[in-house]
Amino acid sequence: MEMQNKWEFSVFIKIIILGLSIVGTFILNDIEYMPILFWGLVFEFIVQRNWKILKIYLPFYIILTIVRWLSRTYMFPIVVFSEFYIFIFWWLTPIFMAMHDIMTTSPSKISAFLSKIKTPKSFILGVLVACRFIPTVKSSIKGVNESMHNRELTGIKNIFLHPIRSYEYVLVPILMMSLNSADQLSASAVVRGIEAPFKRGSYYGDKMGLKDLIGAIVIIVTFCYMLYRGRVKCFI
Amino acid sequence: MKNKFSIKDIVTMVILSVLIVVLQLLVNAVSMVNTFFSLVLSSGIVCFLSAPIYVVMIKKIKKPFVTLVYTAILALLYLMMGYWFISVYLILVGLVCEIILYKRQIDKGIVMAWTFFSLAFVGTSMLPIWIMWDDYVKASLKGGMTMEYINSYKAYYTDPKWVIFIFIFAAIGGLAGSYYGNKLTKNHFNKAGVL
Amino acid sequence: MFYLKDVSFAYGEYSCLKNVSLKIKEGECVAIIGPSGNGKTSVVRTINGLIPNYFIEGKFKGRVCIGDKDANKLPMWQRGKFVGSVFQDPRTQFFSDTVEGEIAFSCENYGLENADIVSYTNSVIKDLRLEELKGKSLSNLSSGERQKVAIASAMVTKPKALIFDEPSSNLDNEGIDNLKELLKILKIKGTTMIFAEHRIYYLMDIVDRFLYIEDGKIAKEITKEEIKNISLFKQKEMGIRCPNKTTIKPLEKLSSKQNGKTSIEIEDLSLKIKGKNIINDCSLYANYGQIIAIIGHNGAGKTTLAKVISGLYKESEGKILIDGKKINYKRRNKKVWYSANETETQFFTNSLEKEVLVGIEKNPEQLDKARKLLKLFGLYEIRNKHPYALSGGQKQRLSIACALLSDRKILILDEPSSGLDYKNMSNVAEAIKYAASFGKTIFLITHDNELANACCTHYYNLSEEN
Repeated sequence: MEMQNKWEFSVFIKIIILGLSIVGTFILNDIEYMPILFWGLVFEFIVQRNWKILKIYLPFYIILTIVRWLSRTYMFPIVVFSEFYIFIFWWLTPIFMAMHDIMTTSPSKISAFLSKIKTPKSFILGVLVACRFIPTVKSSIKGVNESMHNRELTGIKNIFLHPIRSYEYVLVPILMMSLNSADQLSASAVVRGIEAPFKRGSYYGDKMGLKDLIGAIVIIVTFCYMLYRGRVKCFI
Repeated sequence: MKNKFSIKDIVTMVILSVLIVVLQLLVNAVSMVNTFFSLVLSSGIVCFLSAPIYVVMIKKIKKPFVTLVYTAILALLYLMMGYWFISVYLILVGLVCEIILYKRQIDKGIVMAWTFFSLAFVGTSMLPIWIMWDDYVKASLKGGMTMEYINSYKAYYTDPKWVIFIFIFAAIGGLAGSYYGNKLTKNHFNKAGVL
Repeated sequence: MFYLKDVSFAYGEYSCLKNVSLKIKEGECVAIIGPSGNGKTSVVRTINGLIPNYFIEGKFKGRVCIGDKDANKLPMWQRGKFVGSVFQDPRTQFFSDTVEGEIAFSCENYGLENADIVSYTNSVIKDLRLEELKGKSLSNLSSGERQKVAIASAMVTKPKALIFDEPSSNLDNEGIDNLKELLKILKIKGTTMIFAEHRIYYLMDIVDRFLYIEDGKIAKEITKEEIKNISLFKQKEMGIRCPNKTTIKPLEKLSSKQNGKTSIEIEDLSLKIKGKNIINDCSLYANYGQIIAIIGHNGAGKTTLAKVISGLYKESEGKILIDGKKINYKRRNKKVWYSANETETQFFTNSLEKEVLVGIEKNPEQLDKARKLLKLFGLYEIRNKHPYALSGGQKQRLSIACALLSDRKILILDEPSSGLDYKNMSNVAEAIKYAASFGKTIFLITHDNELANACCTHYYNLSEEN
């Protein structure tokens, strides 16, 4: 992981972006104005210099738009995914982008934000554990796969003839590893004062600056403009 | 308080819940390639596969509200994807599971709670369609699709025969999965001294 | 300053500590040594409080005092301010993704202000001379560097004492040297240190006295002089590794074709992953019955080489011939057995009997062979036990038994003696020699010179060849 990107928004702004994206998506009346939200978010990521997310979602969105247009104009049935899912992905892309950004934020920043808003320590601990556990699961699955390869258990024949047994071969080591990890992590937290009855501090502040002001303005403007053009749904 | 979660309980719950959630999301994602699979079969399969992890979690921690914490974590994830209505739904489901588990013999309670959860899990596929259907219809009609073609997607959820089959399949998945989970914990985790 | 009086701890029927009493003065460095499973870790856990406050299922008796305070009357978080803990595997203890974040973890828990947290963290980084690690991600560090971060993280709240639970278990020689340097700094600062270890050569300049524990009791106290002059016989009996740093004995090098039946030939092997040259033009020729130590410093590519030979990775260039024939990488696992470093994800069934027979045809001949192997490795009496309930040494022996039953000609074992005491390491060495007597070619990836000296016939230094 590289040094912290100084253009990255604070967690607070990221949550606002996600929140407004969700609200905007669901109260917009005319869906054809959704792209306004998407392009607004693209601009947000350009401000943050987050090229990784743009590299994934720009092509993704453009392809989805083309596929949707083709299927509607030429009644061309989509082979792999149904039109409904294409629609859902296209519709929810801005939300996915905002969520992806939050999920890939450094856990230190997230815990700094959570301690700033005085969240209970057990919740912060839970978030830290969840963040650092996912890469551990990935490498364990790799390890199990290599062990199964060594025992000649990964053949297609094996998996099809004995699906439950094959599943057990993967599940049991992963669960054992998980329980072991849980024991060791919690022992490590306990001897380092996790139970101390004080609100948690943080090494990394989640400092806000000009970039956050820009971020906030962009999302609010995008949100309002989208609803102005596309109108709000009538819920009565 | 005997029933308060210790640090070990919290870490174990989070780790195992993350495992279940990741598994559920992966299977749901993969199943999207085929409509029949994703609308009809996925709930049953997902609940069968994730049952053993749930069983281990309940048996390891042995305190109330574990299921609720798991459904809350799942709910948080759906919330971040924009499906706020599924989040609310899952919290309610979690509460009902806790009521089922309350003061019941553990093996039986797990089977009942997880079977109920599996039935309720079908809702996570159905609710998006119900809630987002009108927008989808509007957008598709505008593009020139026929109502007939659009409705064919919803066929599984509007035909009562299929709806009943979906729920039964999900319940069987949950039931079989939790029995399998109970057996697995006895054979492996109890034997190894981990539980 | 630490005082244990008549401490006993038992899990059900099994007593891990029986009336242990000891006194440790402020500034003293003490090492608790003894064979595996005899109570070393339990003693250090009573000092940092994990016994009985975390391992609540057992029965605890006795008194533990820090200064004149009854330590068990203090909540764990308060005790954590007096005693820092460093465990075996730093990776399993880390919460953060960055070095500073991890070091600052305790300060954050104690609710200090941001300015104080930053100042304490920077001060411990300076004191322990870890400036070059600043700003790095934890996943990019070597095992030795991670252990240093773990120590810094334990020291950040300026505890009076540190306990170490087999800190060198997962470290290679370079990592242990770095650990020793850090411990010297701590000793000069007057930190009280208590070690549970069986690898003691790096502690000879650090520790003041040794306490030998056997069967849950402190059997005797040994001075530094006595340990230095200990006979090999006594050393084996006590389960400790050599008190002097061992160098690998002069073994035969292995880079050109030899006389005798060649089992595996590797010529000009190269592997590129994501544009990086991991393995560069390696050549090696091994015969049947040879036990080859694959050595090289961290990051030399030893594990990667093993994975290429066993077919997990496809080579970019070069060729691998087994028994004179070229085999596609997808089918190499039929001829090559690769036992990974981690034993956690290696076993699949719920009994040793079943485990040994995974993937094996269950005919009377194989069943008989399996029985013989289990008996030979001392695993037959416990054949119904779950593989995950075994000790480290037993797991390694089980892994070798499975390898032998698979009937593959080439076995690759990755760090099989990691964390093992002397007796278990010897048993593993015997098992390996037995396997070689069947004509197998065995590659041992190891930084454990004692193991290499106990059973290897040749060596191959990947750092030199790469």
